[in-house]
Amino acid sequence: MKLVFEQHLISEHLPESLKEELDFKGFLSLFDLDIPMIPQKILRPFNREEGIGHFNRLSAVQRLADEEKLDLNAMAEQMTALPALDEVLPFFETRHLEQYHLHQLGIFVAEDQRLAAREDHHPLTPELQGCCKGVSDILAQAMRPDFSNLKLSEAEQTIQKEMEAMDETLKTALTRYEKNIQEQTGLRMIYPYPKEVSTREGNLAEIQECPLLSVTDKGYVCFVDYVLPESVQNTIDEKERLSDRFGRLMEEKLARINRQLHRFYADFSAYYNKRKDRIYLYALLHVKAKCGLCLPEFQETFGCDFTDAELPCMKGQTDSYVPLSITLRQGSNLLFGANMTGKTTVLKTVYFHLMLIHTGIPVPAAAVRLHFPEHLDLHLKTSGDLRRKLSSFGEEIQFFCRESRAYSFILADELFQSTDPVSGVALSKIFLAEHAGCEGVFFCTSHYPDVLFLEDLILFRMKDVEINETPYSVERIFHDRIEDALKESRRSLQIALQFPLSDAIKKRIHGILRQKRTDMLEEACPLSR
Amino acid sequence: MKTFSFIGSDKNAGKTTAFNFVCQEMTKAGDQHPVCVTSIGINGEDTDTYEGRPKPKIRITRGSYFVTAGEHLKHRTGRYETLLIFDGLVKPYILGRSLSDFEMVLEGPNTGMELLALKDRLRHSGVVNRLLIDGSIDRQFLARPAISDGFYFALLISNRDAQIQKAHDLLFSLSLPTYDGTDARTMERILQENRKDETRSLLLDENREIVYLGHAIPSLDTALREICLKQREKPLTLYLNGALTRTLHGFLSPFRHMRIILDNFSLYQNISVKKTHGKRFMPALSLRHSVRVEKIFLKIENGSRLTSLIMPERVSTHNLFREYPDEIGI
Repeated sequence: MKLVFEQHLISEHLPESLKEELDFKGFLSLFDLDIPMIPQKILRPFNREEGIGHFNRLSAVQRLADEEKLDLNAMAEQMTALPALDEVLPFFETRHLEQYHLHQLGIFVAEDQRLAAREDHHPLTPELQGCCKGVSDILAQAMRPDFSNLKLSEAEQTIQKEMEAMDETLKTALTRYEKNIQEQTGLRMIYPYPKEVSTREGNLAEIQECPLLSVTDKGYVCFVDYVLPESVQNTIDEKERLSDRFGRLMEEKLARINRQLHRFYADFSAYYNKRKDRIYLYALLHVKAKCGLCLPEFQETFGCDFTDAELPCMKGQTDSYVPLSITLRQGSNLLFGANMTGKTTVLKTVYFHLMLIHTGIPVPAAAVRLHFPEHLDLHLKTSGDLRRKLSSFGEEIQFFCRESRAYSFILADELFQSTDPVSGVALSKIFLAEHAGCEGVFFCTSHYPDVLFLEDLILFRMKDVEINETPYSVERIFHDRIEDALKESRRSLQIALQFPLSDAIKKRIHGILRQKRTDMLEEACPLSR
Repeated sequence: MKTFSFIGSDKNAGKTTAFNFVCQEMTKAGDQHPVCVTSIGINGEDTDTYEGRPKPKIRITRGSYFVTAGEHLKHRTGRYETLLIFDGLVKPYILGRSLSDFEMVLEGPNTGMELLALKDRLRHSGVVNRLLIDGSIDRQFLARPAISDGFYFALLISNRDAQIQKAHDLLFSLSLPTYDGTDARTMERILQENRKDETRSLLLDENREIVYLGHAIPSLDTALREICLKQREKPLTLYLNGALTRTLHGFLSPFRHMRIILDNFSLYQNISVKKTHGKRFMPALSLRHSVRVEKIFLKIENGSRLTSLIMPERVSTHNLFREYPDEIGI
């Protein structure tokens, strides 16, 4: 079962490189199970009602598994035996099922019965179950037990035996005929024919005179072919007649079976689709259990609460990876902190989880509680788009032109860092204030200290960590601690020193840092001067 | 499970005749080695799609196994058993066992990936242990060892110059040695580590350092040409996973210090090695994957003669239309 996002679902607002970086493909490959009924599933965004319904169905099945009323492992094993009928159903509908379709149908019905026997506590659709029994009964009458062939009536078996006998007769007659040719001419007439005989061949005269053969002289070679005796030709003709008769009987039989089955088509087709949906749920829950994923819980209020949410592509990179726990509330949420402390990673982790939930997939977290993410938008820094004649600033403004919708999550990295700081702060304040009352969550990162003091803003800060060291860690900052939080933050100049810059540049940075330290000392102890 | 493919040099080269013949002979071997037949794309139609002339049909004898697309089993109801259905491919293919003799159209997967998937499932079914694939010369993936353990060639011999040249080149490519230099293991390791499906060329210097890795069709890869020219006096190894065309062959002819390793024989295309634009071909030419030719079946047209053709060593050559099965031996 290959899970693939619907085209444009992600690409609309994410660059190709980010999709690769987040490695959705790698995560979705966890669901690569051998399920013939669902070789591929296109993941489409759910609206709120569909999404909540989908996860409720998953939770209901999960509860049965938790109560040991359903064995998910056994279901996973059993569903590999159910064949796909998507190619068969159109023939079923138009009464053109062939013998091999009946085999497929028979195997499906038999395996489905085994699966249904394990679903006592939540039968698929009791009202449609009758159609499976109907199909099963007809096939039991018409087919061999292993569904490999039709059951033949006595008359049909007689014709089949006659045909087999005719085959033997023909083989004997042809062998005798070939033997006669060999005795008369020395030539062995064995496949392929016509045989080619050299014009210089010693027995050519005998071959040309033999009444059992026809000879065509091509100049360089003679083509020698059969002239079948009347008795052999009659046997061949008789075999053809028998074969035609048998064929007609089989066609009639097949038509009869098609007619009998057809009255179950509508119900069976509906049942098949429901079975497919149910198997999809089993598959998701099977992988959920195997990989330690979780099902989100939904709340009526706006906001989200992630506990130990993982970004799988990050988890693989370091041993000291610590998952993200964060609670975002309705309105504007802002994350600040020094460079390289993981602000964007937090944003990407939240986005990764929301996208999975948006399309109905369990997530790699200990727990997630949120309003259903019916709308999901992410803006990351860009260098603009020449084709759309938009600068990076233009692109950012364009992003915010979208109408604000209920049940949305809007994520933006480094809010209005794309313009001069004065305008950037002004625009940030406008949009933060505007989103403070939105029916959803607006979550952004920012480097502008001035915007932190806005009212109705939920603030988070990345804790300072040494460069290139994880784990990153997020803390909630209340308004009375903003000043302290800003003081604690690590300076960008110190971070820059960790890079292989030229000595001249580093000397200048050290100069500024020395000056800053002197200023701070003077501010703390004015008498030391 | 052993897999054998059938390739014909031309249309009307006797490929289907050879296929029927080998199938018949293998089936005679008995139940211990059940044989299954299939095809790359469609084979066994009544007439040639291009030339409109009648074609020999594929004969299925009672008790033999086949893999074909469902639509070709219409009107065969009751004459075969359905054993397995391979779904999840472009279309479902049916593994059946015939209950009587009949002629049929075979249609199997058209791509290497699908064929490998089908082979894998066939192997797991444990039903058959020999698979015969009616192939064609333009399906180069058949040459991959993962797909075919051996080949049967149907070679048309005619009086037409172009066809004689083609037969000559084909026989030459079948005679190419497998690369077995002292560094053969190192070379194979380098290829396994660096070669991807999209790799078309890989150029190595004398220290086995990769100096170029190309994804473009080699004959159109100007960067490859430039780097070859720059280093022309140095010992180079060029691995090609794209056709060694006449043009590329001409370009590479003067590189006397170069050795060329073709991924498989089918990449050697329509070139006369002795003369290319009047130049002698200087590089040493070999193959990565050996050509495991089981037999060559000849079809001689209009009294043509074999005199100018050199058959590969250690490969038996037969004319089905003039010899008898027990002389040929499968």
